[in-house]
Amino acid sequence: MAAPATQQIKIRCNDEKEFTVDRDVLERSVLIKNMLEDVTEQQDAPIPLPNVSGPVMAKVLEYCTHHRGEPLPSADTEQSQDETRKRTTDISEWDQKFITVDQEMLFEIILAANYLDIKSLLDVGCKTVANMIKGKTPEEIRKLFNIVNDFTPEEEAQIKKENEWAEDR
Amino acid sequence: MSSPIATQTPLNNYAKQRDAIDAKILPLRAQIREFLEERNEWTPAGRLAPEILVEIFSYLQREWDGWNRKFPFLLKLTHVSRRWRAAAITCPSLWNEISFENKTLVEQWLKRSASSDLYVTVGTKRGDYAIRQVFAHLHRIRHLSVDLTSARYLPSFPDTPFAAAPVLSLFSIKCPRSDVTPSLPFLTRPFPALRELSLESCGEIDLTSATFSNFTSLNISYCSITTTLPALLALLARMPGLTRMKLNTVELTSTPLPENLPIVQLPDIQTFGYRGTNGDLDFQLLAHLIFPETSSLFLTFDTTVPRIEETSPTVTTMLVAIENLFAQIAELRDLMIKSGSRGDSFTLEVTRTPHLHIGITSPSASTIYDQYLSWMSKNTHLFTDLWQINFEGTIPSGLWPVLKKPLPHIVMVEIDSGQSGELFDIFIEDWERGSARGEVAGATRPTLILPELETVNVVTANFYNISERLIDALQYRSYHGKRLERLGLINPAGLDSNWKSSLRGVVDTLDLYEPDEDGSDSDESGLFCPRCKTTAPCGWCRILRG
Repeated sequence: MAAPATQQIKIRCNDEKEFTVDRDVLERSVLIKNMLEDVTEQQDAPIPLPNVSGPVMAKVLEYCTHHRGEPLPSADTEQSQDETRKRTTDISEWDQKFITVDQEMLFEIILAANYLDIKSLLDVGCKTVANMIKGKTPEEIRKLFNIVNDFTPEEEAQIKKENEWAEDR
Repeated sequence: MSSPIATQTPLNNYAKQRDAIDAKILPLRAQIREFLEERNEWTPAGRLAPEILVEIFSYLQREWDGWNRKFPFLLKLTHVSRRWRAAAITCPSLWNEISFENKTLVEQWLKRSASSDLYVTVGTKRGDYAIRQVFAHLHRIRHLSVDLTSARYLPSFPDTPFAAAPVLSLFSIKCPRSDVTPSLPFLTRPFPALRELSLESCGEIDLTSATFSNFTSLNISYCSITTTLPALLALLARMPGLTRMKLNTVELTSTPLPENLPIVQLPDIQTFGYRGTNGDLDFQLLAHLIFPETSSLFLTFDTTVPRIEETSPTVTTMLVAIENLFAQIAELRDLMIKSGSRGDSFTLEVTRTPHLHIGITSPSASTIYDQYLSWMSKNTHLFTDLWQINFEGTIPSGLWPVLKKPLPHIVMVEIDSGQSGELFDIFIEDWERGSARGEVAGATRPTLILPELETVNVVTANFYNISERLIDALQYRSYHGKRLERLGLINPAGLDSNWKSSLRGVVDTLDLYEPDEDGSDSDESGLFCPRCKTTAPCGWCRILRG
């Protein structure tokens, strides 16, 4: 007997770009999984994803395809506070290669992972940013992310004071 | 010509003019700051919601500012932009880890962590101040680790506040070089959430107190633990979820044991470390425990038995306990039993290694030896690190099947008197494989028993009995590329120059230990040890030689 064909789902991004994807790949996204579970009848209309663009979705799907079949974090396996403390910024080799993209794409992937509720991808993105920040001074961080100093003079004074605290033994 | 301003403007107008201009600049500054803030929102990073920023920051919560371990990196993150600062400061869980003693920082962390649970590590001799500060928040401390150079720096732990430690799940206190015994009066009461307790150098500990129950991890090191075997078993029975335990050193008082001591199951245990000096009672404890059959179990059972004789109750208990262990645990990782005795009985040396090490010097103690063979045949994988075998007395026929199994790390063999030359067949190859050798001549290299053998010491040998078999065996090894590096012969009566010459042809180095002129035996302590690469007796040699 032939194996049952995998259900194909169509999605449409905010730039009208459409993808047809195996259901199990798409279900890495808790948002889409819940949407599909809520729909009882098969629909031909693509699922609209107004917060994700085509190029970003293509990257997200690359990640989901690679990790298809891996167990999804369920509500029961929510990390406890103690477990959260043990987290490291280690990233697997494949994920590291995957997330080596320009800064704009990196933050778009993080936003998409957050919107689509793909916890593991969000973690990879956050760890990558954390690794970029690690060991840098505030000025270096600003330069890295093209951020400008927008503190008020009063806030600047407070920050100066905080820097002095560390020397206050 | 003088300036018109200087001559025509009254002096009190200068300040007014400046104030007027400042008043115009002020809203512009505010507007610029607003523009700057808005501009930051249009950077890729600026689009991240505060909760994602916090998620990123959480990975850096325990980082320090480079070499400066006084400055928590988290503080730097609040100095980047208004948005980053607001996101970090308004998230209490980012500030719940206190591992420094700086008064201002501790106060700031306590304030910013609001009501979230705290994880506190106090680690210097000045820890007393930080402890006092955080003690006011005992009701929300989840982990408390105190690592002090001396108990002198420990404030007297107030008893009452510890009653109000409803979320304390881990408590660790260490005063390793302390000249003062810390006072821990609260270790008599139950703690509803405490699951992990570690006490190091903390004086006398009463394991029967209400504190000791329901732990998943218990470590008591360099403290004074005096208890009874039934009480210790009862303690373990009170901790069914125990995953890690280390008790060092336990003194079990000899009290009459009840008829039926309970058997205690430790289904989740992963690390079981025990050090006792109680001989029979230690083995009694071991015999009453049931471990999970898991390869991840790391078991250290360290007991020093001053003297073991074959007929002593300790031997019986030990054999029962060890048989029991082997039956339970598929891959015993680390078992340490030190015992010592010479002469008619036996010496079982089990030392701490990644795998089990056993050196046995008196196989003539047939009952014990049968047990040894029984363990070995069941658990040959346990002996893969064994590097030396000693033979003394008559070799039971049951030895051969054991030795025919590959023992890849044996580099040294010592043989005492009374052997016939047949023993040297162990240097050759597995007879069963050897019989097939003729059929496939030249096709495969024969598998030598003890393939890594480097050194053989033959003690007080009657050389005439052994000479032919020994030289044949060594010639065979040499022919197959496994030439012996060193052969030591002690008191080799009857060894003439011809034999010496033959032997030098089959080994790299021949060490002869001739009898002293007065006829007494030569000193065996000068034997070459392949582990320490010297003839001076090392600690390891001494252990193996009993």
